[in-house]
Amino acid sequence: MLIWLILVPVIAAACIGLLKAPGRLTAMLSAAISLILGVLAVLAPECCRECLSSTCGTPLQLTLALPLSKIMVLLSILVTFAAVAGMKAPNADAERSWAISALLISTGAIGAFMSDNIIAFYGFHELALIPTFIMIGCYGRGDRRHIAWTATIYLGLASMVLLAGLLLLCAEMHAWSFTTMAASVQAGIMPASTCTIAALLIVGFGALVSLFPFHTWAAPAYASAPAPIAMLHAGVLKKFGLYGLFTLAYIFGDKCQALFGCWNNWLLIMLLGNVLWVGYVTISQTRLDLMLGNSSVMHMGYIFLAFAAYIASNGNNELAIQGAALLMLAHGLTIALLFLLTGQVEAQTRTLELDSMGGLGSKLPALGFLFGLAGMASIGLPLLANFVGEFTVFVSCFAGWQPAASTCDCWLGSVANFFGGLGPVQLATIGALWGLVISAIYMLRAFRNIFEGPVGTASERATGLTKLDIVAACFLAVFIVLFGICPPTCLL
Amino acid sequence: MNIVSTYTWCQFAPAFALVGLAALLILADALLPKLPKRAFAFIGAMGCFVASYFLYTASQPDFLGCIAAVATGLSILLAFDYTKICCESIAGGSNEEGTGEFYALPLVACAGILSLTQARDLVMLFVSLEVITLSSYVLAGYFRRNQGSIEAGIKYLVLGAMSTGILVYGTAWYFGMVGTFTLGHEVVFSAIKGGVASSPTLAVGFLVATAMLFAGAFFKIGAAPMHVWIPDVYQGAPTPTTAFLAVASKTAGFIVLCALVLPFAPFCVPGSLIGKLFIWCFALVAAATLIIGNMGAIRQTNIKRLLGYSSIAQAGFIMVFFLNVNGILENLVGQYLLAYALSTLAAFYAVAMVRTQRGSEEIAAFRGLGKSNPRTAFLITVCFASLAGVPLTMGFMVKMYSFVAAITAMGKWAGICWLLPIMVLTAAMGFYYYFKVIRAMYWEQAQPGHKALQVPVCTGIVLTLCALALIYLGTMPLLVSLG
Repeated sequence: MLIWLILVPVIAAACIGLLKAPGRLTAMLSAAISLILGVLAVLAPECCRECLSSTCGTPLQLTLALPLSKIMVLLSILVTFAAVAGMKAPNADAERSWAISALLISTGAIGAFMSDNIIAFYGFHELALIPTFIMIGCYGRGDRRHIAWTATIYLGLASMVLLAGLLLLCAEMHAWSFTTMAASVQAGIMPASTCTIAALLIVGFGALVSLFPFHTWAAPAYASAPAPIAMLHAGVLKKFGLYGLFTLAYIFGDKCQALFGCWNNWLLIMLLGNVLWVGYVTISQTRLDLMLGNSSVMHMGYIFLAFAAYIASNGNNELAIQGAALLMLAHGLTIALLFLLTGQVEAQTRTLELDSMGGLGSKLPALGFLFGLAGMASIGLPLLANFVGEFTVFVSCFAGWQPAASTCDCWLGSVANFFGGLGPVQLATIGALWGLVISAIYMLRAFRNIFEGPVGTASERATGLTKLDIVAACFLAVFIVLFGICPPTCLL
Repeated sequence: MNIVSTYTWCQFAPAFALVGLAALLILADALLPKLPKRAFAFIGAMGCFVASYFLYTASQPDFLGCIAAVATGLSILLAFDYTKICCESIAGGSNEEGTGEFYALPLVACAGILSLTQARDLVMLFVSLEVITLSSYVLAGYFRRNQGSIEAGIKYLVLGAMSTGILVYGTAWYFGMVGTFTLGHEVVFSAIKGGVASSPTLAVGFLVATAMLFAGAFFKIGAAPMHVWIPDVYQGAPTPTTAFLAVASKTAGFIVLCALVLPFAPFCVPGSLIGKLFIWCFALVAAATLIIGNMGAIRQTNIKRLLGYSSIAQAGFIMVFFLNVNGILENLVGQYLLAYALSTLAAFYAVAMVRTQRGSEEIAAFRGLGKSNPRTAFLITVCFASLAGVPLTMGFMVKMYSFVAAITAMGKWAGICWLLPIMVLTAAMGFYYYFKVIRAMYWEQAQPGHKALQVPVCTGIVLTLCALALIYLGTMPLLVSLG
């Protein structure tokens, strides 16, 4: 059955491309089928899932048994549905291209999250990247060709670095799938050149997730991409890198420090770059799309923090991996909703300059409410999905920590000792907490500029939202609230 | 002195058949001047395909020869759609006079490649190689009304003659050092047994001979530093000839290189001085080829020149396989060449179509194809994506094998670990310049006056088949062997 999660969108994309089926409708139908299939597959009890995935007998080795697979598949199908339902293309041709691309990106992401074979895992992700580039180049905002070109080169290089890392790892472990690699680790096999492999993997996966300082492609690309593409890339596809790192770390278990440990302190510095540096960059943005793009880059820092905590605890920190999973799900839904609403704001006001809008809340209260909800979720307000993830991640960083002499050396060590002997992860956590304040500053300011105050010139143009617009946005909003009250821990 | 041949006639049956067909075509050209030349192209191509079929179904399938024969057939068939340009550039106007040999000569060259695959000594190797090269000289300069073609012909002749000289000189040294022309383990073993220390003159002389023989093969495959002829000749030569040089002639080069390298297999183990020398030589050449090919391609705006540099770059990736000399070397090289042949030939068909209808070989001439010819543009995209190594195409699979080969070699010789970063960087450069064509097709507006292309039947079929084959062969191994 899992194979249908991949085949349905591909067939739908083929129908749209070759038979000129209506873009949005076909894509919505396919996304709805995927939604049902995906929810069934994810929620099915263990015994049924066994037969679901094995009876179809495809040699593609699709599985939901990996620790993060289920939650990522859930995220993918939810965002895909909202993305195709809320699509506002300028004409029928563009609508078809957008629908095909959205379906292909979704296929690639779902395929990667379900692949046990490491080469297929990599291949599916590459497949999803290509439509992203083409869509930004063809239908993007602003200097689209330049932006698409930068992203292509950046991610092409990152993919090659990643491929080298994965191949090196697989060749040295003599295992080409996650399952066999876990067996190799059990048998006590470890790669010889761990530091090289870890560096390649962190840079390769990291650049795909926009880890500082390899993040410069991301914000302009999201700002430029058409709304459904930005939703799917920022919300779903980007999580591929974190998914890969966490899955490998999980597989290596109590040997993960031996693999990634030599770069953990560097990783902490880089993720602080994400949270603080990119955070300040976000504050200075004057366009809504660029602000959201940067904010998405910034929030990746928290998930890397969970990864660093997991590595530092040598695989004993279950809380870190759970927090990361919940945060990935929450961030994916929130950023997708924000990009969806950005598309609607632009369609209404025909601008995204924060200064020229204002008072949109009085013209379009529904849009104001949804944007406020998504913004609050993004800041990390309790009872909304992001809070659960962020809180778990921050707590996990202190899990198992005891006041003792710090392991840090030089002046940092004396500072740490002053506070009762903090380790590098704990110090980084304290730095990263400042990110919550930064998020609050830019998100609340954006909300005030767009929706509050006197009605601005651009807001005058607003006419009204269609039913489908509201349905697509509410669809995501409901899950943000639902997962905030009742986090899907059963999927972990 | 009795001369005992180590060959049998039937080994060369496909080669003789092709030469016979070429002779018949040339005779027909003289005796039946009314016969349309397209018939010649069709018959010649069919001859190649039949030959490749027999090679494939033979008791010992000859994979590389098969690729070369199919590639020759396809490059002759390319001339089928290209007759308009052929007539303009040979006789002027729409006069078909004097174009017959253009379709017959590739058959002779192909016969050379097929006999090359059977060669087990240097004389046969040299003779076969010259059959290919001499026909190629004529073909490269065949468009006598086209300055570029004449320039290409002269450059190829001068540089080719130099490489032949090196090859002959190397052969003479080889004979002088070991007293035989035969290639084999035992000859290498007797020459360098005990290394340089035990018989210094013999060993050093033998290494000089081998180096010169390698240089001759490097010229054919376009490996640095013997690559200088490629960009100019590829750009200037008639497109069908360029396709032949880029695929069939390169395959011939790799057949020679395999024949020269395989006898060294027992020496390529860690700890052997000869092995170390050999591996370092190949690693350096591969790295230089990768860097030159990829860096050179970045700035190109002419598609044929771009494909020329791309062929150097791809040769660099194939060279990496030679770091592990073992039984599956020929198989890996063959797989890479197959992926390269399918995508490059399809690319040349696209170039020929655009050249015939839009009169330009610049990348800019591809602009707007995504809108005006969406299906063709998609097929071309698949071919260039495969050249770049995008997953789910065969180009990705073979590039991955090349990476794995480098990693395996690094496991044995830690000294060459710098090769992997170079491969990663150059592969990423490939994304840049191959995507230039895709970018032109999808992101740019068509130039004024450029209408939608009429896709000729032959081009349509070949493009579709190549793209389907690339996707099929790129996904099947994932589903079957790795899965």
